[in-house]
Amino acid sequence: MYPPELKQSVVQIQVGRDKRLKEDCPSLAEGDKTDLLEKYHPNYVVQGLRKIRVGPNKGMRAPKELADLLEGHSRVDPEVMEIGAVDYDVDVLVLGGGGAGAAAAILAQENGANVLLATKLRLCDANTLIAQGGIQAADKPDDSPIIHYLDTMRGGNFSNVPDLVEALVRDAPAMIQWLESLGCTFDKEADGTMCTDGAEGLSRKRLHTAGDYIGAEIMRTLGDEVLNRGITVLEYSPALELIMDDKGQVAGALLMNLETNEVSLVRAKTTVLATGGGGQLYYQGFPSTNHYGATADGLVLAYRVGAELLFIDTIQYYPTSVVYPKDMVGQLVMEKVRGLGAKLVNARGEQFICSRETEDVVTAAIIRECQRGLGVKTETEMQGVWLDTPMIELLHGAGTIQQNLAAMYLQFKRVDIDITKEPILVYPALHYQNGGIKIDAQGATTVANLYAAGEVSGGVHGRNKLKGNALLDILVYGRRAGKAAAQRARETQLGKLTWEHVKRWQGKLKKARLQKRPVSPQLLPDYARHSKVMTPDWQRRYRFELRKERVLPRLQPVDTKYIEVILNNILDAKVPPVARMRLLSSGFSTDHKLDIMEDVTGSRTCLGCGNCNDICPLIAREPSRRERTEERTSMALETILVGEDCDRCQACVLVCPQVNVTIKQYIVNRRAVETMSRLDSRIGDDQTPDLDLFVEETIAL
Amino acid sequence: MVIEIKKKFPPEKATYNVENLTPSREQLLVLYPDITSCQGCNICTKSCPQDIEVLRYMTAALCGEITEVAQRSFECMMCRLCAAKCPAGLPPYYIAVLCRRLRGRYLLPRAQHLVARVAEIEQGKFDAELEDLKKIEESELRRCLRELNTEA
Repeated sequence: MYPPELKQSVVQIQVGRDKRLKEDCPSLAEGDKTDLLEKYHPNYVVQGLRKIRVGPNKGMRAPKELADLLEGHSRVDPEVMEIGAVDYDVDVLVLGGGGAGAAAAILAQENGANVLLATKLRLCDANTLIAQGGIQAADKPDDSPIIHYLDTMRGGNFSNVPDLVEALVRDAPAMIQWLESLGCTFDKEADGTMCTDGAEGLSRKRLHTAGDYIGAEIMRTLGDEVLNRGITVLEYSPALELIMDDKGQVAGALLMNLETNEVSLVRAKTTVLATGGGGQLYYQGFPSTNHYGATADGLVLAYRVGAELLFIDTIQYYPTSVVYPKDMVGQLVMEKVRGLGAKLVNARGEQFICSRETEDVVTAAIIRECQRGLGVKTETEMQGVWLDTPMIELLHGAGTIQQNLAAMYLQFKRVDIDITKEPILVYPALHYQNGGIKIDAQGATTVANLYAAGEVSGGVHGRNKLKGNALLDILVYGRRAGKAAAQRARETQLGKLTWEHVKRWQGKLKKARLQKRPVSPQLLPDYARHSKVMTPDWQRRYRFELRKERVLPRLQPVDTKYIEVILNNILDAKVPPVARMRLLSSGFSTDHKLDIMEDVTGSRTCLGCGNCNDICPLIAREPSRRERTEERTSMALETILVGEDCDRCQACVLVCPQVNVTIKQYIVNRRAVETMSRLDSRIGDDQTPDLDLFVEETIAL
Repeated sequence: MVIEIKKKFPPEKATYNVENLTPSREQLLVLYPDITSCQGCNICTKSCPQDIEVLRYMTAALCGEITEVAQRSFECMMCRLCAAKCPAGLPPYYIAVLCRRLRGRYLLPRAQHLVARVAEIEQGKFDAELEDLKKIEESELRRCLRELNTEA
């Protein structure tokens, strides 16, 4: 439900709705568009960009947040870090578990390589999974790769690298065929003809869809195929640094397990970077539609070994993402909503932009409204404009929303917002990194034995990506990079592994007087989805722990005495079970007084699975405690209170999938010891132990 | 009450080559013989964040109705919560992905226009034109686009 101050604005804009239905907002003249873009579009905002001061792209402009990370200190201290035993010795190392990584791994294995896939989160946990729009391929009789080529060039403002676009459009139909043969479902007619959609900037209907789940369908299938082929997958293992050999070739990477903090050295003849973009860096304070892992790690890794970057100053912004409620911030509101007739409306209830304009113009217009005080403010000091969804029902009749936007209707229904009667508050969000590592048509970067594919690479989309080309990009270049990497691995002889390149990098930083830069790659983003949702204190707390000093990850085990203290502390806290579990699993809390627990808290976020609430005997006894919500998101579960009545059964800790195993083992072991000692004491009293009673007591414990 | 130690988590995935399968009940049972041990407790459905009726499709899987499983599980995001909560240690999400792939590969008709286009590309029908396009200037490309739009 909207809070009173927003509710007031909702009522205000309701008044003019009938009038707005009839009026037609004219599209802007060409000159006005350029003016609007140059004044308000974040890619043109000079304050948000700065020149990079070190490395192969010295002098090139990049978003400030990214530039800081690119100039960052290595997580590996070359003076201290010795190259010891090699933990994995493989032909091809693939970094990234999204669509590009999976495609590269499959193709590399098909070409006879021994492949290792390492990913920061889990396999399939990537932006590919949440892609909704579609995948482009010119396979209909009225279409051709030529038209696809022209469209893509126009979309990228003719700045695309022609060779890359050619490969993209030429391979496209074969990609769809490949997916089809792997068992991917597409929307089809009864005779097998693909149902294709059109979109902004496309001359033909070329978007292949699978409901709203095209990305998920591709990712699930590729992920399944990776597992079927027996490719080794290391989950929760981001790369800290690429390693090189004495011949100047990339020769693998140093990985760290996020759960155990153990580091492992991978020696690989070739390496494929498929780590995706950097939407979670919140450039210029914008929210992000991206997945949790998108922190531009690949750009940093590649930059440090000397790979050139392209077009990294252009980011694609999605004009409409949710601003309220807080836990949905950054969630994408599909273009389809505007297509169905929902208009964008400012606080005064005026239409300020024609909904047929291109994405960048709409983005700039929304920002303009908010900057000149016509935006609507939320309690978290964020601004947005209304996307008037009730108009859809007025235009097309009742029930249209539930039929066409079922998933979205449901999501808002859960937070008590009925989008058939109330509008949605929206603001532009970071969506896609158009540029990236410079590659050739085989996916090779400018550094020997290093390949890149997907969002981390640049040049395919030029300065602006066209809808549906991102999914195509990951497949075409994932496959090409995988194949090329496997072939290259056959003819590669690695020399002696060395950290010399890190030493040189640190030297360069010193020379350029850039000692005060953060440690990078960042690995995990700030916890919330938007910088404004957080206080500065939180930001400091949730940067990954290695941010403080340039040291190697901690390896010592946690002291068990310490666990007892921490468990008591956490179970004493008068907070809901889910908040307690978050303390244990990620150290995340709302009062930030958790320094004492740093050694046991992990880095895994709450899944919102609700296991902790389900198992809690107190909530089971008194169901009234949970009456307030049935919703299963991390925030909503927090309304279920246990507080000081807690039984201290610790069951919630045991069922939480994200809590560190050490803590769970400690609890289980301690219980076993306690029970055994009680049993032992009874036998000592010369009594026959009543086993039934004993079992009952154990359960009650 | 029965106290039992949870079986291995995450549950094991059957490995297969999708090219050598048949879309049948027997195939499902060969790959996942454990699906017969479903207790019907419905905790999988309750745990699903996508509101999928997991038990319904698991029952359909037992009957070999592959299309039904594929359609009912289409919104699955592979979060593994159903498997985490299953007392029988079943992996419903793996069974769902198998059925979706079987349907996609064997039960849905293939797109013929796709076969034709891929053959055309392999024969090099567009090669010369693409080579030319790569060389020409921006203004020329704009002209091509204008012509294209007037045709349409």
